[in-house]
Order: sequence, then structure tokens, then C-alpha cells
Amino acid sequence: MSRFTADVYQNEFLPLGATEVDAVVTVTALDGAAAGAAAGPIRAAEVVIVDTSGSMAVPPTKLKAARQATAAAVDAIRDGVEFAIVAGTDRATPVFPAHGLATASAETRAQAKAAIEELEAAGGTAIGSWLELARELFAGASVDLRHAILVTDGQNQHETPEELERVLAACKGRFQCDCRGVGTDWEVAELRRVASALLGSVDIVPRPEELAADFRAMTERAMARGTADVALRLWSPQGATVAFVKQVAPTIEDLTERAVAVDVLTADYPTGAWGQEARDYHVRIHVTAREAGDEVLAGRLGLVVDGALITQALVRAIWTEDAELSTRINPEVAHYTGQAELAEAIQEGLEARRTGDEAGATFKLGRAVQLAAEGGNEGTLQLLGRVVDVDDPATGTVRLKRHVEDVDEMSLDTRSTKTVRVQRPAS
Amino acid sequence: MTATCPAGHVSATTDYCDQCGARIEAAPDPPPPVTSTTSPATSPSPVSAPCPQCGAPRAGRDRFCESCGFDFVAAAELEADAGGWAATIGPDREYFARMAAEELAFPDDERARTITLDAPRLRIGRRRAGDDVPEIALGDPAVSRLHASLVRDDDGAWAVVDEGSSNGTTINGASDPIPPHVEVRLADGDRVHVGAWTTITVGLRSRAA
Repeated sequence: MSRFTADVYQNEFLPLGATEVDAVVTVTALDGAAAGAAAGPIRAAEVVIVDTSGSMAVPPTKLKAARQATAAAVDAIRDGVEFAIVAGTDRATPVFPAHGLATASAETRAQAKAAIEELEAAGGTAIGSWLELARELFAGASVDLRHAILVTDGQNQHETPEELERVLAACKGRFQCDCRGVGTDWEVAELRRVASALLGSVDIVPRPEELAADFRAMTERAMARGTADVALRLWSPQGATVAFVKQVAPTIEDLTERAVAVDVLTADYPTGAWGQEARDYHVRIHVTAREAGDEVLAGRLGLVVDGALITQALVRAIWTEDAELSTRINPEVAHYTGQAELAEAIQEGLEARRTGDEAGATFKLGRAVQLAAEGGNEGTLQLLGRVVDVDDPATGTVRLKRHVEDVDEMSLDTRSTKTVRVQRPAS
Repeated sequence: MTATCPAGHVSATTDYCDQCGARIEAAPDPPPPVTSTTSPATSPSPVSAPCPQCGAPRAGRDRFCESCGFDFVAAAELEADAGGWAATIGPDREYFARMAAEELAFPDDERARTITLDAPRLRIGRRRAGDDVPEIALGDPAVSRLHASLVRDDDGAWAVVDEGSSNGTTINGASDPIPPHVEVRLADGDRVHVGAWTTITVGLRSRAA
């Protein structure tokens, strides 16, 4: 059985009349959560979906890289895992095996790689149909963990956004999917939508030759997850409203809309499979203001692991007339509030730049530089430096670059949600 | 193991109330029995009235008397049970006429029923098939699944709280609904209106029956 801990960081003291309670909760999956540490490896299924639309042939290195990457993913699938390879165009086609899933062994991996070698590029792009086939394949497997990798180089042109939404709704909770965009002709918002709905990551692979290493890493990471199904369970008192529940590290992901009601006061927020890792969550709850000295529980955050409720963390509120107590800013809450604003400033700044609003773009991206400098986001600061010239990071004084490579803009957009954890003094 | 919070909710969690979140002070469990020097049938004591057992003043809404350990909450509960509040629930033609829900027909064959208010919180709403909550189940189509609750205060008095219903809750024929999520104190004989035609009259058992 995996072990989890949950730690709360908050200033529980509120001034009189205040109703907003903020807390950061760090959830850590300890040693036992690694696959194979307890009752043997959990049963897993892996589906790799590779875009073979016509555009993948231009330049020819793209399809070649996709083939190599898919083969690298196949190599990383450990023995006994159920797997399949799917080719995606304006429809989905099983590449290996011909029907259903195959059980990984030296033999089936070799057969899969031979089939991957035969892949050719032709046709359109209908991502929904690819996910639909993946869902059908997973539905036939009696496994604990279902993981897919999807790689595309283009926009979803051969089905409507409504069709894609319908498929996403059907796939939600059935499997997780990490998404990768190769080149610069795909749409960040579209792939982010897919990854977010299916509890996966999204990233750009600027150069096709980097795809293989990325596929291998993703597959290994998925295989290393020892806990198939974890949800946050949040109770809040009568009369309270949950303003938001956000994952804030390692990436920003708003979970508020994912709430599944357990009872009138309690909701679950699915977070998918966990390996040995830590994730931070920012919770904001509005409660009814009380009198000085009153203490209430604003939230009880539990973890539901494979159906069992374990580990609870308490978010408290105490009203006080002592301004010195109530005005203290909790460093964790402040840090992640800044990180969320950073992601927003980047996305809004890039949008302003795309629509020709130079003043808006300069302001937003300047604010992003300032926040990234404050928060210690070295990686994000580097990416920002390819879109703007930074005069002074402390004040956020920047100038838009005249010429920006598409790949730099898309990298910044895709990775805007990546956060750094708050620096805590060693204990 | 359960605990009773300062607002009188029975809570499955013993650190903070699982209804209102109020902190529950560490209390011996089960609460000490009320000694026979006081009759459980005395009238409800107002908030912060002195301890009926030793006469020491009660500090705010503390559960236990600081002087002799008398349990105010348990005594109030006993009293409430003995006092016997009840609710009569039924279709109300006058309220129905006021609501003027033209597409609905008044349920002529539905009879009023009276229930004892025997728990600190009774939820009012429409049940899903197979469920046994809310406690007060109504067939009224304009009632939300969880519409409102009747809640007992720690001094034994009853209040109604609208749980954020779609169509609101009104009292004693008022035209404006009560604000959601706010407890509104009820007096003996008060009428609570929900849905298209349902009126719930609460009061001491002798009157409501």
C-alpha cells in the first residue's frame, strides 16, 4: 500500500469580516507509491497514438522521427503490459496488433516495431477519432492503469470542436493521455484542452530528433506509477463555497470544474495516477465571517486512493482583531498566487501580441518577466528572453522583439503553466 | 463516536463539526449524565442564563458549566426531546394560489402528515429512487433535491435554512424568500413554504398535531 502525506501551509488568522480562506496543501507520495515496491507491479495498459497525416511527410524527417520515437516507447514498455500502436489521420487505424491489445514481450515488441517501420503519411487530422479508438482498446483491458501518448504535428481540422468535446467527455476518467506537439503547425490551446481533460501533460517537441528520448521518458514515467487512481476529497462547511482548487506544482492545472459531488458538503477532484512524487494544491474557500476569537474548519482535504480515504489535512479560519496576526502573508500562498499570475500574464501577453496589441503585450509580458524573476523561474525567464528584450527584470521593463521564431513563442506558451516549487529552508 | 458542536449539530467528526465547521472543544465522551437535581422539563433556558444546577454564570455559549460541569447542550437536547416539537407537512391551497404555477395541478388527494422533529437536522427535498435522504421527502415538483433544512439550536429552538434551492423558501406567507444558507429562527406555529404547494408548520407537538 502506498503512503501519502499532506501538509497545509496557510495563515489561518483572518481580520474581522473577512470570508476568504487560502491554503496551499503539499501532497507527497512516499516510497511505497513506486511501482513494484509493494504488492508487485500494478497491471498497466499503454496505447501510443502517432499522427500519420499527410503533413507528417513534410519534411520527411518528421515521420521518420515519429517512427523512431514510437519504437523507443515500445522498447520502454515492460514485459506483461498490455499495449497497442494506433495511427491517426482523419480516422484511427490499429498499427499493432490488428485487434485489441497485445501483451508486451520481446516477440510482440519486435512485431510492433516492424509494423511501425511500415507507417506512411497520408490523410487528414481528426484527433477525436484517435482518442475514441484508444478508449475502445482500453475498455477491453482489465488493468489498473491506462495511459496513452498522443503526438501530432497539426491542428484538428477534420472534425468539429464539438465532436472532439464529445469524445473527451466519453474518455474522461477512462484513461490518461500525455500530448506532444511536434513542429509549429499545431495549436497549443487545442492540445492543452485534450491533455487537461485526460489528466496528462502537454509539451512541444521543437526538433523531431528529440522525440525518441521524450517518448521513452514518458513511457517510463507512466510505468513507474504505482498508484492508479488518486482523488482529492474536499469537505467545506454549510454556507461555504469553494472558489477554486488548483494544482500549482509541478504545473498549474485548475481542478475546480472537475468536482464530483460526494454529498452536499463534499466533492472529489480526480488527479489520476501517482508515482513517487509531490504535488502542491492551492485551495480558496469562502466561509461565513464569524466573531473575534471564533475558529471554524474551512476545509478538510483528504486523499481518496483506490477508493479508500486516507490522510487528512485541515484548513482552518480564526477571526482576530490582532492586525499583526491577520496581515501576515503565508509565503507558500504568496508564491503560488504569483506563479498562477505568471502563467496568465504569459498567455494573455502572447494573445495580445498575436492580435497586434503591442502595448498590452508589452505590459503583460513585462509583468511576466517580473514575476518569473521574483519566483525564481529560471527556465521561464529564458523562454521569455526569446520573445522580449529585458531592460530591467525587477520592474518588468521590456521591449517586444521585432522578430520571434514560432517555435520560441509556442515553447513559451506551452510551458507557461510549468511552475517552480517554493523555496523552503532545509529543516 | 459522535460529538455535538456549539451550534447543536451532531457531528461524526470530533475535532470540528462536520456540518458547520465549528471547533468542538475536547469533551469527555459520552457526556456526563445530567443529575437529578434539575427537572428536564423546565422551560428552555435563554442563551447565557446561569447554570440551572449550581447557579454559576454561563460563559458565552460554553457547553459545560465552568463551576460544576453541567452539560448545557445535552440538557437542551433532552428538553427539546421532551418538549416534543413536530412538523405538519402538506399541500396548501392558499400558498399554491399565491405561487400561481399555472402548468401544475394542485394535488387534491395528498393528505397532510405530522412528524416528530427527532434529530438536530432534518433535510427537506426530493428523494432519488432508493435513497433515504432527505429525511423530509416531498413529491412537490418545484422542490429542489436538497431544498432546505430544519435545524435545532443548542438551546432547543428550531430554525430553517434554505440550502440554495432553485425556487426559494418563504415563511408565513411572505412574498420575499429567506436568504440562502442563513438560519432563520422559527417560533411555535410558524409556516415554512417550499415548492409549488407545500407548507410545513412547525411547533410544539400539542399544537402541530
